[in-house]
Amino acid sequence: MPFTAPKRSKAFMSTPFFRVENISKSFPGVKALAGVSFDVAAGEVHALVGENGAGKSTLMKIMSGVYQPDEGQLLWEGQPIMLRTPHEAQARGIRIIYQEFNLLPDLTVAENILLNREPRNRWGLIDWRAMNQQAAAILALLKTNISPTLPASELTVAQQQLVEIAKSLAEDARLIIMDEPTAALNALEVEHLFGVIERLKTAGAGIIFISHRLEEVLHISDRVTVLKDGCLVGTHPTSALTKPQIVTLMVGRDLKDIFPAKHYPTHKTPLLEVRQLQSGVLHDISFQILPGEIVGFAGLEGQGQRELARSLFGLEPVRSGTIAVNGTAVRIQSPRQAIRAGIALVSDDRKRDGLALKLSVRENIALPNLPMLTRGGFVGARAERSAAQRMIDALNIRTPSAEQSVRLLSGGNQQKAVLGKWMVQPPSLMVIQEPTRGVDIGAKMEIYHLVYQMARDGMGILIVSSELLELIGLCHRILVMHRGTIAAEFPGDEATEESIMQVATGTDVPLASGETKTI
Amino acid sequence: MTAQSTLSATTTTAAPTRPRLRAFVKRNRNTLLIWIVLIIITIIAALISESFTNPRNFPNIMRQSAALMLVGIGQTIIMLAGGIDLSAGSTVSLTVVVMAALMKPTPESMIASVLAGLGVGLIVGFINGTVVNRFKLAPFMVTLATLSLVQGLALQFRQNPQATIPREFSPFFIDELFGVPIPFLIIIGSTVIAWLGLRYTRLGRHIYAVGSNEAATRLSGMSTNRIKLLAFMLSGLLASMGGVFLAARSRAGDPFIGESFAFDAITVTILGGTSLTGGSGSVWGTLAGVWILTILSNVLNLTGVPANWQFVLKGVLLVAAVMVYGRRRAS
Repeated sequence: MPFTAPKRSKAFMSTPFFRVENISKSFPGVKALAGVSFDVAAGEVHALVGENGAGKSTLMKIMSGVYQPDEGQLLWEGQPIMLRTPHEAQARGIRIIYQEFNLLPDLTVAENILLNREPRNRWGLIDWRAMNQQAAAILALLKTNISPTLPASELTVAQQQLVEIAKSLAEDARLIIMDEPTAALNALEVEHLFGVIERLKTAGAGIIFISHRLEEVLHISDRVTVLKDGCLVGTHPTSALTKPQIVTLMVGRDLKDIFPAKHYPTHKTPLLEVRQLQSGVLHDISFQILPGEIVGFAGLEGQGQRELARSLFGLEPVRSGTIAVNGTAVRIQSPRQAIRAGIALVSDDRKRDGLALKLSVRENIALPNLPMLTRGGFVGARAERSAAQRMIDALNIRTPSAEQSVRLLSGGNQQKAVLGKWMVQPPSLMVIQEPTRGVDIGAKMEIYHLVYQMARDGMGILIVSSELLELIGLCHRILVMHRGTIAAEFPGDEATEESIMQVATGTDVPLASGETKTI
Repeated sequence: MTAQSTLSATTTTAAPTRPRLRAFVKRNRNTLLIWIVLIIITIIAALISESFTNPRNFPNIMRQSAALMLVGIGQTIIMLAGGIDLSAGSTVSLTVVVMAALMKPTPESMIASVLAGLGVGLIVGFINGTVVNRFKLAPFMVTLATLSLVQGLALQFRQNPQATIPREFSPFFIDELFGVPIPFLIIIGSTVIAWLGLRYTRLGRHIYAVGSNEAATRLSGMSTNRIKLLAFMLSGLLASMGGVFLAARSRAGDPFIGESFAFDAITVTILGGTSLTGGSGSVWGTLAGVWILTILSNVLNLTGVPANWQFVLKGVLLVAAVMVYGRRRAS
């Protein structure tokens, strides 16, 4: 079997074989890790938790040779080592399951699983039959029947995830780092994965388990380490923790302090009404948003939330269906038409879509408002400056001056600048993808309060987010997408992470009792 | 995306009727397509020109296509790895010039000159690969620069009066062996070796992997720099092999002899269905591309169509191929 980690008795469990000490790592403008220490022992599952941007990914990439730490050292069985490339890490038996999928679309499943360790016959040529058999054997451990000869480009998201996991099992592994391995799996597949983890543990491998699903962390891990804003909060035995305790450690304060109290909208005439929208992956999308209402869209990656947000802004061609804003049907085939209809979009990739990075805060804020700021063909310098300053003050954008290049702002202030672009002439509907991606907790709270204030002023807000706690804390209603359509709807104060995930993974599609699907 | 997933579902589940054949067709759609085009063009050529079916024309077409096929295999390899080699043409020229300068009509000198010629390609490939890796530059820019650099060297090494290749060197490359034209054997042999190498060696598979997704390949613990370097060196080596054949065929140390080769090699590679961004394609497709190009120019010459129109036709073909393949990819 390809599935044998070095034999090791449980007695070794207390002595970590891999340790990182006082690791610091900076990227331009961000301190990703500051003096973090972390270790993992043989036969142990060590969970790593923290919000997006807490530094988990950076730490993992240091432990797998992708990044080099600025400070601190790595100790392998007590000896200081360097991991200069992923290759060197692999040579020590460190395997990693990346959160973003790294399959090679043109190669088969078997080739992907056995990449760089293809079985060869006695002439050194690749033995395709052995390759397909070995791949099938590994896949069988995960109790899945994906064909090893299928091109990776034809896999579903869940299958891609399973193949990613299979890749890490393909050879003797001492340490397996799993970054959100269950994000796209249903309950049964998760159970199979846990079976495999147990076997790896008994075989003596160390496992680092990163997950947003805290039930899973509590279930499978032996120890939990919490990171926040690049710093170590602490390492605790799992048995000593409860879920609310972990959450409090992660966010650094009680959840109820982070989100403003919800006020439900009083208007009952919908601001946005979408009926039977079809476009690309989307089908049968119908929903409405009231003035002052914050509606969240949840779901796994690739279920259509992104396309929905983009088609409301004219970035995806709409095949059929109607969109009405304030009771008037509108045609939206370009961002220009969307803006005219009163819709604004804050994209999930602000550096690509949201900001002209080389330009100043002033120029960025002025950009979508130039028609208003232009007199007789010239941009009014004074009007431009005053509009920018108004936004800097209103949104509390921390910048030395309006002339600062946005590239030099922190993530949170960049995000506020994107909001500022649209708030010079407030739209009726603001579509926000991942409102707080790459933003620290302080700026997060500010952004939540801003969004909340916008809603109180009567704007409709549509939020697409992969952070469930954010949706639950902020939204009046949460719609869950699955396979291109709306699979369920939850009132904001009844939704739980579990209930949303159940629908999102397709384990169960409840449209029962109290839950009503709008129109 | 829904369409794609339902499509794959039907092919995997509802395939009791000859699933292997169907999977084969599906996997090699581009290659099969271009071979069908080749067959159609051959039939049309046979119908409109009597000289085309003359038995003496077959060895002629093989002689005309062998050098392009060798360079085309090199180009296919580097394009599969996600790169491109614009310097292949001037590498052909430099190889020929170097061989012409060195070769005397003795067996030892012939062997030494061939080795020197092949060395030219390996060195150019090494430079291309190293610069691309070391300075993280686009292969297009780097090989555009070496294209000019190598052309300059070819002019520098040119002998005055122009050196020629000894008569005794040619038969090994253009005669017949057991009644089969040697150029044909060279074409088929090199295609089979390249195909086996790409399919059955690790380097071959890793060339596809790098072209498919370089970042993912690096994160899987492979040295992508090494793979890319070797792909460039193979491309250079095959360009020089094309040069060796051309030297035997033309027997002239012409420093511009390879000028058209880089772009013709890219043309046949794309015609053959290799993805412009790397990761998918096959040397068999490239072979069909080479023969399509050669047969077209052969039959147009035989029927007296001016060369100008051959260029136009080449352009039309290329756009048509890119459109067909591109649409397939998008759907």
